Amino acid sequence: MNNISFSETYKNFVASLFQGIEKGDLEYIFKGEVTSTVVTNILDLAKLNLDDTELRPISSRIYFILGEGLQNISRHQEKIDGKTPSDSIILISKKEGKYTITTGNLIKTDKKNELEEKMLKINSMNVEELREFARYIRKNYTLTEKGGANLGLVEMAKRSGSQLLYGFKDFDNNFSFFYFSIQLDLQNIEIHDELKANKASYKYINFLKKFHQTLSDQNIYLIFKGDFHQNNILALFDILRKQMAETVVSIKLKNVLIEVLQNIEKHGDNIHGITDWKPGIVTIHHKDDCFFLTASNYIENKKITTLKSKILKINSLSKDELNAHYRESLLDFEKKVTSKKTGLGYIDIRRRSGNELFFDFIKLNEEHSLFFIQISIKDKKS
Amino acid sequence: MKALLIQATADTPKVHLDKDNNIFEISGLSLPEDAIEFYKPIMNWLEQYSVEPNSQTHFNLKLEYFNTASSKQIIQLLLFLEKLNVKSKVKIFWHYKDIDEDMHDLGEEYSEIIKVDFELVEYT
Repeated sequence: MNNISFSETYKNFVASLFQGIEKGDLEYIFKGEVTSTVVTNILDLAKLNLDDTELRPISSRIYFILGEGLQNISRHQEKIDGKTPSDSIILISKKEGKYTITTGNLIKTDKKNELEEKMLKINSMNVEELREFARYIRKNYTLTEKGGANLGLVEMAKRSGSQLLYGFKDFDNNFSFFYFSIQLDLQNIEIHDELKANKASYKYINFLKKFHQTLSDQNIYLIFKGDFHQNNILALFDILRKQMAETVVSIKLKNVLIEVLQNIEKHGDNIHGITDWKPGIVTIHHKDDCFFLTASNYIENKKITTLKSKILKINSLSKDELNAHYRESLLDFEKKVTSKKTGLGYIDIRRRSGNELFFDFIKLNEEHSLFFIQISIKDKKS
Repeated sequence: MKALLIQATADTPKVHLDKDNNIFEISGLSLPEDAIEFYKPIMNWLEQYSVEPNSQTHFNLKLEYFNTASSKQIIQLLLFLEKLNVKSKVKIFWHYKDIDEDMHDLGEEYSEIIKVDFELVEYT
């Protein structure tokens, strides 16, 4: 029997992002208008995912760099026709013991040279010189001028002990994207006198330019890859709540997000057989007057048949049948109801969405597959 | 009878059940991992209250969102209030935000299941 298939391209895109996740990994990608509220929320999410015991000695440094890196974007992004562009991006990733913070925002092209000179100057200094430079800016500039003098950049280089990585991409005649990335090596935290050369180098910037383009082409707002536990789910819920204007659609989207992610939290598997690790990925994008929420997680192959027939059944129901089925499951107190299994999850999601649930599987090996689910919500404004 | 007051958390609602002052209210978000555990003290309180209830019980549900795990507990609570209606005049006020279609529809649906006075209250 064939699955109801959703875009192969999108499925493969999500699968490629999800590949090779290890415990402790985190990837958070945001494209949209970066407000100070968004920054605060992302910071909270990032903090939740720092392993305190492992990182306590340097956590204050990480918080500083995270905060500074993110505020950099909300402070310096240019407005076009008085509006903050919705194409800024933020990427945070923790992988193989490295924490990377990357931002991309629009600047006026005529400021490019000046900015590049500052970066080159900072990168050419050693830590002692940076300390001097920071002191000089603090002493000689007023509070508003300090931002202009890029005290933040100086501090980030100093506290990370690494050179700043950056790049530019033309946007139109007047504006360019400015990409900025800073990396912290959690396993090698001593700061030497000379700044560490950023090994990720310009390959990463090139990757970033392409990736940013993909996000824009596909209209992707948000990607979160990591461990789905209640705190992360609540943080994501909060980000959506504060980021999206409250509309009929955004309320539905939030509600569906909770149900889908709590589903992963309850039923997700992982390929290493680690208990209490529920890795997954979720993305939100907009296409053809619809919002799409796509999620993927590992599933044991032996569970596929049951899950498949369950979703197919729910998809086959008419609206009235669906409501009857909901009521029946809601009032079914006979079956062993645990806090984990209510039998209501997919029925609820389908009812809220109003559309069929798209789903698919990719077999990974004899034991496990990737399970994909995509929920569409019609954007009523359009 | 001692009032039950539970402050809201990031994933559980505020609960205020007070016989002396005739206040019966649950408000906020309800998306706990273990909904059964959260609603247990509420059900216990209502159980005790039902021994000698006030002549009238106006129950206000003002939930911004509840997950499916919570819905199972909420319907049990409503079914309990339906039984209570014999001893105390029960009325349920189901508050929903004007643009929250889902919450409105759920209220409508639950009012068909529960045979007591049930009013949908819109707020902005």
